Amino acid sequence: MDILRYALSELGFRRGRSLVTVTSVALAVLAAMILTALADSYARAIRVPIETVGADVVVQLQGDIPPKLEGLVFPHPNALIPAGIVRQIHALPGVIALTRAVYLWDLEPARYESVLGIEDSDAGLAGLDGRLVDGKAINSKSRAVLIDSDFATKNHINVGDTIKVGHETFPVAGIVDAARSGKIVRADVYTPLAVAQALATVAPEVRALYPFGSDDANLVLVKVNREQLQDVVGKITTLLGKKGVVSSELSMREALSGVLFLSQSMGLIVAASIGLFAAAFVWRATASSVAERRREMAVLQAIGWTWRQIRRQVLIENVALAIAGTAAGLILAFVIAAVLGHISVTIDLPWDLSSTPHFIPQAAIDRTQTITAPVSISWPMATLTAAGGILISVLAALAVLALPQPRPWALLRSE
Amino acid sequence: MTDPAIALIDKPAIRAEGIRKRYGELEVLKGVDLIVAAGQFTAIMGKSGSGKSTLLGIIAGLEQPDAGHVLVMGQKLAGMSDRDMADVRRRSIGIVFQGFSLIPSLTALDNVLLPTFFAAQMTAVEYRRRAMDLLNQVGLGARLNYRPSALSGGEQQRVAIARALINSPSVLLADEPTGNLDQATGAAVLDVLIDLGRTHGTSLLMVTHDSDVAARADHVVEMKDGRISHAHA
Repeated sequence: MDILRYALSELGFRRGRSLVTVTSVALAVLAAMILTALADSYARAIRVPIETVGADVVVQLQGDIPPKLEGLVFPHPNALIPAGIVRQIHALPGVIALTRAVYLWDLEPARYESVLGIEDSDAGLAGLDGRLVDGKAINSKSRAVLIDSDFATKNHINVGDTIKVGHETFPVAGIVDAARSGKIVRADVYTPLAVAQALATVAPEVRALYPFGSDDANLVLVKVNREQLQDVVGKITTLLGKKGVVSSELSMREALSGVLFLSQSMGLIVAASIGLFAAAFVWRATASSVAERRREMAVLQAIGWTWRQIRRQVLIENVALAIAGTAAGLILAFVIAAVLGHISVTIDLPWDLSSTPHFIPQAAIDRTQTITAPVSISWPMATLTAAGGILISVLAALAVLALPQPRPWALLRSE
Repeated sequence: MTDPAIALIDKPAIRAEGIRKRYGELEVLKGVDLIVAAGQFTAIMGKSGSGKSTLLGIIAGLEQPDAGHVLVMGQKLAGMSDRDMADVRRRSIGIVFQGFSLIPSLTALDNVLLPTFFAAQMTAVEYRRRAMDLLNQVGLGARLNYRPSALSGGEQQRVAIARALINSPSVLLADEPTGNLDQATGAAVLDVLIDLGRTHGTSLLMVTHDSDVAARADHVVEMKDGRISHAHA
């Protein structure tokens, strides 16, 4: 208790130096935590396009461009995925659930619309229930469709109106705000899977390319055990061959690896640089403090302190400063993270993940997706940074105190 | 050949035999023998460079002799570990320096308590009471919580004397303790030092160049060119 009181008296007595040391440690901790939190937030953001479709893996197969771009066509990355392949994917270890879909473009001379026929699962029609803004939901037995709210506004369509898809007309049962989800399964018109299958089966531009059967699909959403994600993705890729397009968090990472690497590595480099700067500063502050207090240390030796006890006293002072600096840095980091709240990241989706026909002018705009991700500081990160801050300060102090023991009498004698 | 001991004493507080010390080319101590009687005041006089401060540092265990050895209360200092040496200094030796040697961040009371931080002869409360008693005895009972910067030079030296006595040492070493004080203050501090030393039965070994101070000693040792040139009661 006495030595703690002595340490606190000393730190209070040299409050200018204490304040500067605490500030430098706090800034290092703050920078490390905020930069790491931002990098983590960015990493989380790039998972969003996949996660919001309720699936971990989106399976597509690249096909050919139809002879004529008119009527109902399969988008280029949505070739027929035969039912047999779908069953094999479903049987893979690690696959929890599978949702089949048929994705179509309905190209008319004056307009186009994207049409998604999908099963009832959470990644399908059931997933749209919560996004209903008007009307009522549909299910696999319905003959009605849902339309996207932006599409409805743009084309002045209301619930109860009808809409033409291919050569058939369907009543609009409800309007959904699909903009809040990822764009991968975003479509203008949502139908039960059987409806889209039936439309595809008779569509001339589909039939020109694929022997599409009434039980086939051209888009598969797979929910997997996340621990087995890499394994499942590998197996699906093998099943589909060269033309397979298997989109997942892993492919997003790969596609955005440059930016992700930059955000994470630059964050680490900057945090490490500031950490080293803080360590150098603590070392310098300790060295000059020890130099100033050489006579004081000699007095302590003369009155019965061992050199070890004196070193411990200086270390306690440094640890106290490091704890204060780290605590201040942690508090500031939590406050700043709370103030920042979210970051907005605009991600340029790989074109094969986009729902918009890539040959129309607005495709370049629609292929970007702005995602907000929370900036949060995890407790393991905070613990690690706090330990690092204190360790750096202690090591800096130890480096100074490793110097040879001074000869006290040379500093104390009268002549 | 070494200098003669100043007295033959059965149980000396300090016994130094054949002490030699060299700094580079300069031989500061050339074989000094010294015996300090228990409970008495011994003054070491000599000009600057005579080796008297070096001898005091060696007796305090704060400087290593090149040859010879020192016994404090029968304990041989040579070969002791840092820990054992610190233990001897804490229990058996009190030191007062010429320069003000208080810790500036601590109050007078905490400065007096510093040598007790690692001592266990008494409880913390008892040490605190003793420190307050000592500060009362040196006339600073009303300034317990003053920091050194708020005390005069004489007051600081009185705090240093109280600190030197806190662990009831057998030996009190003083290196020109009044050297930085004006004559009146120095005399007052000296009164306190000698009186308290006698009251507590402590042997006092003081380095001084002031003959008035030496006149109050039980024994005076004069040093010249690294040797004891004269010793008298």
